Amino acid sequence: MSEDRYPVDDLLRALTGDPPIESADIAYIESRVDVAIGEEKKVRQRRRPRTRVLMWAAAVAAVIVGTSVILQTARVSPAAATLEEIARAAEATDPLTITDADFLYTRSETQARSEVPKAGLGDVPYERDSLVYLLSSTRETWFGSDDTVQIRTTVHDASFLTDEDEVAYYAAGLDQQDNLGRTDTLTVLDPGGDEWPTVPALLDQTIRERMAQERGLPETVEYLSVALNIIREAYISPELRAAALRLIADLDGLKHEPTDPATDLAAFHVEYTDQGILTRFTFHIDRQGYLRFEERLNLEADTRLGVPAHTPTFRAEYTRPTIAGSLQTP
Amino acid sequence: MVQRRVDATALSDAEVIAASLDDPDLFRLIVSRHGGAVLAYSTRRVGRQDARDVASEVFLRGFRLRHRYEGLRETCLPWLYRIARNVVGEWLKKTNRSDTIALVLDPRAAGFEDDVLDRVVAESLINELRRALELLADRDRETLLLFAVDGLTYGEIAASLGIPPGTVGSRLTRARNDIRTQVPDLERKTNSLVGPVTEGKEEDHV
Repeated sequence: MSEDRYPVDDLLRALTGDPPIESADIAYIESRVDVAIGEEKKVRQRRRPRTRVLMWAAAVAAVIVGTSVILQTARVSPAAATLEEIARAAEATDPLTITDADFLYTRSETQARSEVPKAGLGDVPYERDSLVYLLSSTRETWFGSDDTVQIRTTVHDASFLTDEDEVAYYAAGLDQQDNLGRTDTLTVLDPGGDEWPTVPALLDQTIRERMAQERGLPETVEYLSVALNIIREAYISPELRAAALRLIADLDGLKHEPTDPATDLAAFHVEYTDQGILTRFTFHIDRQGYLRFEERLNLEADTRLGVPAHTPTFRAEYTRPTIAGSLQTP
Repeated sequence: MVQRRVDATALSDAEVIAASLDDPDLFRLIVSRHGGAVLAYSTRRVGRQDARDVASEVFLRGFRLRHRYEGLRETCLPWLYRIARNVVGEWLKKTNRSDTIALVLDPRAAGFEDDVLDRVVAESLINELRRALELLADRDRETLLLFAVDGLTYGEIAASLGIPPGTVGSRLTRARNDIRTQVPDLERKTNSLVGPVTEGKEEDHV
């Protein structure tokens, strides 16, 4: 195959020239790569104990197949192993791109617990200190290539713990306040996502800087709260998604639940005490690293609010981001 | 460890990258081997001011993604160019430039600034050339730039774009023909600037 050059090739070459390579520029590149190398080495050092445990587990499993010992060791870190597997798949996923004619579409179905103090009910008679109810809503988002975002929110209905709560809710006009049954559409200019670093150690540091400090919740929960904010985003790079997943994999106390074959979503949970109440936070991630479900559940009754055990305080299902050809619900 | 680092200088890029998965320090060798080429690519695409940041990002991504490297054994430059293309594309978006392509065409680069007539012709030609390049399909334009500007061989371009080498040739032919159509007197103007060039001249590639 002849690789001949033509006049236009030489003209282009002449007009772009041979830029001088300054040693200072090379040194600058090297210094930035050195930082990344150093960060990776630090992360490796932090992870080493877990790696050793996994290697040991693998060695045992290879030798004593079929014994109960394997069952114990195989459970050493199933959450970490699964998240690493998903992180690899996420990395290999092509980034989502849209043309001028397309939109990136996402939808979430949410149930969130609301709490209105008795004083917020006006003259409506009510016995408890606070009225608690669950509000369900749908939020659809269309991201355009011109940085505009259309957000359509529909508030569906409220569900109550008792009939008295329901009566008080409507009597106090909270249904109007909550826009029950209404759909609002808003178009805004995308403010742009946070600039998250993709170098694991830097991302780790940034997440820690953004963790809430005053809520008295365990570090794993606060860390997860920030890290899931990253992977909840539809429009992040595969590298960032993978880096966030790997950091989540490193969290203590994260449990892996059996995968529901119907959905093939990897399920994880962490249990902790929130204001004295045992709480479980569960989240599901699909095989490309997208957050698809999350739920915060009281495992114990909240006697202060009269909320029985196993009541969700927050629940959300997310669709995979898809490309939509119009600003209509696909 | 010391022994491995000494030996690494004789390794191919693919071997260095594979070894760097265990010993990340080895990735420095990739920077020292290809830093100049990636910096030159970046300078030609985004200009001198942003080039070192773009080039740094290329190597940082390469470092993070090195476990996925499955490219040529001899040189990882096509892989680095592939990463660079993405980084430059993001740079173009992020900087909100009106340009639809990232390419710095400068008459001074060709030494035309000394001759007023040359400079006028060159600037006019640059405008026409830029418009013609903008009208090319992205894939054809990138193929042409990798060959004409960056000096990659067909094999390297094929590896970088993930296409068969034969497709490189057809894309180049189409791109050149389209440019000739858009800039009818291209060769006359070119000859007045760089002197007559024999069609089909063979040239060594780096």
